[in-house]
Amino acid sequence: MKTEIKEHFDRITQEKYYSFRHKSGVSVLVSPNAYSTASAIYTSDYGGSDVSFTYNGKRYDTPRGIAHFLEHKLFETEDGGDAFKLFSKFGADSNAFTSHRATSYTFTSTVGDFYESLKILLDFVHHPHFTEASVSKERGIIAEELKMYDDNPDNRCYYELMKCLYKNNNVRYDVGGTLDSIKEITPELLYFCHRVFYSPDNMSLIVSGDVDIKKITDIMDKTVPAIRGGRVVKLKVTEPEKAYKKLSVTETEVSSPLFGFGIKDKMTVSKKLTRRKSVALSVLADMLLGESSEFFCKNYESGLLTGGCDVGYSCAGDHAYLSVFGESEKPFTVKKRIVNVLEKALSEGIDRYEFERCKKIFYSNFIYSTQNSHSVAHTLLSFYQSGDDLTKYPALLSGVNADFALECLRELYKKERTAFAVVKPKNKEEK
Amino acid sequence: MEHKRIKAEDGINLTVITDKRYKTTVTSVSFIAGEGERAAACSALLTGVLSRSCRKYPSLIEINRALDDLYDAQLNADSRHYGLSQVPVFKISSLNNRYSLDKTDITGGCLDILYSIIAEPCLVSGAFDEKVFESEKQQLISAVNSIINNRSNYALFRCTDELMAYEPRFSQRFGSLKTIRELTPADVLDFYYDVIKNAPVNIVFVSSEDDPRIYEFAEKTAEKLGKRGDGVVTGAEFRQPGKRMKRKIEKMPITQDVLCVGCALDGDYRDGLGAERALYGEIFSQNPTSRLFENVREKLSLCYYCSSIPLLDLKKMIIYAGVDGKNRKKAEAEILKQTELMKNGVSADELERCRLSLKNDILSLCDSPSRTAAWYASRDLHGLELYSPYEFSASLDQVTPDGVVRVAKGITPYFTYVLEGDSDVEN
Repeated sequence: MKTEIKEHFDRITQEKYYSFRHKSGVSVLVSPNAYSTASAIYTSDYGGSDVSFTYNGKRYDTPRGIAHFLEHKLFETEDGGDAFKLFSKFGADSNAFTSHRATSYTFTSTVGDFYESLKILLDFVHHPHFTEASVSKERGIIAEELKMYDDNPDNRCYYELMKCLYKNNNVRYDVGGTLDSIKEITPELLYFCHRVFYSPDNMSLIVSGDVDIKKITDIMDKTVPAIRGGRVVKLKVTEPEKAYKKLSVTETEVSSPLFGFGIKDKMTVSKKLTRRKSVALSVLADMLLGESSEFFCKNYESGLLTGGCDVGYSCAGDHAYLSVFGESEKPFTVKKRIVNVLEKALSEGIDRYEFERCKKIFYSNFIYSTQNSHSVAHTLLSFYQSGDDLTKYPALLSGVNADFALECLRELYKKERTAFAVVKPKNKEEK
Repeated sequence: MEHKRIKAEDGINLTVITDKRYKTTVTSVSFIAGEGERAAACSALLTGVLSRSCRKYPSLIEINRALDDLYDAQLNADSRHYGLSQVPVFKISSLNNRYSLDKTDITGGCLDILYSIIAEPCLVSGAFDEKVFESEKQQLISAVNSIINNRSNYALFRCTDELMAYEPRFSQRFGSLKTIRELTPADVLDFYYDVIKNAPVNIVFVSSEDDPRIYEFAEKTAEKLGKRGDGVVTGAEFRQPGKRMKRKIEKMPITQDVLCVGCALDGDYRDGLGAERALYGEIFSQNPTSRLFENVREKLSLCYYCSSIPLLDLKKMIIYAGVDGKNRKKAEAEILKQTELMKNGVSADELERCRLSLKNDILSLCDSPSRTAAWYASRDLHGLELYSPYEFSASLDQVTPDGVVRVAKGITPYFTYVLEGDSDVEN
């Protein structure tokens, strides 16, 4: 069977990539470019949120943290060595990361050594090797990783907000699980979840660099196992429209209070509409609350806000929210002002010129995200995971306007959907 | 990639790097602005105040919107320290003009803003605006206080303080809270005039093409600032440590301890061992196949991260790891053992693997205008021969195991700093 290769191209930015499905079932995206290095990301559609699923019709509920545990353990090879060492023979820089929705394994190498490194990547991910002793050893390392994140106040603030916004969605839990849940993870569970989620038809390969598609497919023909996975259905949770909790206040060792304000969004059925809405709300959030907004500049100048403000609209598979994270001695005053800004925009409308100016920020971010082989690969993955085409982004951005964005905000903003999280120093109250 | 340096007689150096593949342009202007804690605090406040406004854009909102109009150009003004020297750096990054959708001259606009920020400050009756100054002072105080929010950075910060306690000319990049609080707008304005009149200046420009406007910018800046002497940053003297390990433990209610091992490092940027030192770092701690990663993390399962950072300008190195309190002694013993073992030699295999890894990283660096600008700026500030990352990469081929051992023998652990978690904290 001949593989059908589709070309994707954007005339404005000259970004281009090819996509096809390899005969093994792996979805492949290749972005040809002239950077000095080449990168690959091999991703299993299995993330920290995928704890409950059916496999060939039978339901499984697993401990939190297995996807992340697998990310750590797959690097170990059968002979007691590890994949890092194999990559290092070619000087390739290898790594892995787990999100709520997927687990990715990646490397960046010289263009000349790319194909040898690709063989290693495609091989080790499909050849798990776990023993009681090695799983127990890894548990210690992962426990230290979890503690490190637990000591990070920004991380705490993010998860506190997620716990307020979501009642059931697993996005409210740390991707890596908990110190207790990782104790339940055994070699058998790891093997089982690997079998369920690491079949080629559940994987994608993203490549960026001065590479040859024919050589890539030849390597895939020889390396990717010809197995079909069973029938997997990730069990979706039902989530109420309103925020689960309005407020969370946590105390820890932090210099001044950190805050996170969020508005939970309803998922839209139409993918096309979701894409447009996501872009429009991202631009609008930046315009109203980002670093060039009146809100930010005034409150920074007055000292109410300390440092920058992280503003964005996030939409990832089964959940979406608008958020504002920052630092302030008076987080509740900031919250009031955020709400005022949003309500004022809804009652008085917004400046169309300002909205167009803010679109430039997102266009620029897009160009910046395609500046080297590594970032091209990551950007391509991010678009792919959202079911989007990277080369259509500039046109999509150009097409959204202030009226549509305001309409999206009107649908999004309901008081009962908002939540606020504060991580503050002990015994410190807002005056 | 091509580079050229124009070493001007007026003490303002310009380095231009071009590579057709670059999609963005970076321009940085660095001043070597003195030593000590007061200079650090003044420098930190000055960069904050200057980047808030200029004559053309007298408020934060105006300047931020002007940057947005230039396709979200990024203006970064911050104060860094290289060894004992304080270096205020003004940097602007933007898309290349070919990505402009409406024929906006992005590069020209960015150079105008950068010039205005540096040379045309917004003064009210000949002084910095009191309100802007006080607001930036509060922001700086918050930034200093917030160092504790990142536990490993805070431990490194405190460990560096302790390691350099003997050197009165050393200061962390912001100076102390006491000094920051005492500074007045007049103090910082005096510091500004001193900097623009006397401090050696290095300009680095990285773009896809050799743009004539950067030469105009350099000329205009030289004309405004006037002649000054040449200069480089000042490193600390090497200090031989005593034979016994010293120790300091500080407590914080956190779940994981941060362990830092401070070392004396006998060497500097001019000792001709740059390539050997880079490979030492890679073999010892920077790589996932490094000695620390393989032993402290993988074999003994004591931590998630264990690495080291060289502070070459200070003649120090710090090894650091996040560990559970009950494993701390074991981790420290293993770190000391591995530091010692490096002196016994490295294998041809690990040398070769790490050489390839470093070369790969240098290639990645060359793809990034921002990292390339930082590479050349650092060489300029240290007064080193201007060679490209590619030339440095080629020099790695000459490194032998003996060369790495020579670097290892110049490293002596002598101080342990621990940020200790509170055992009452529940996980």
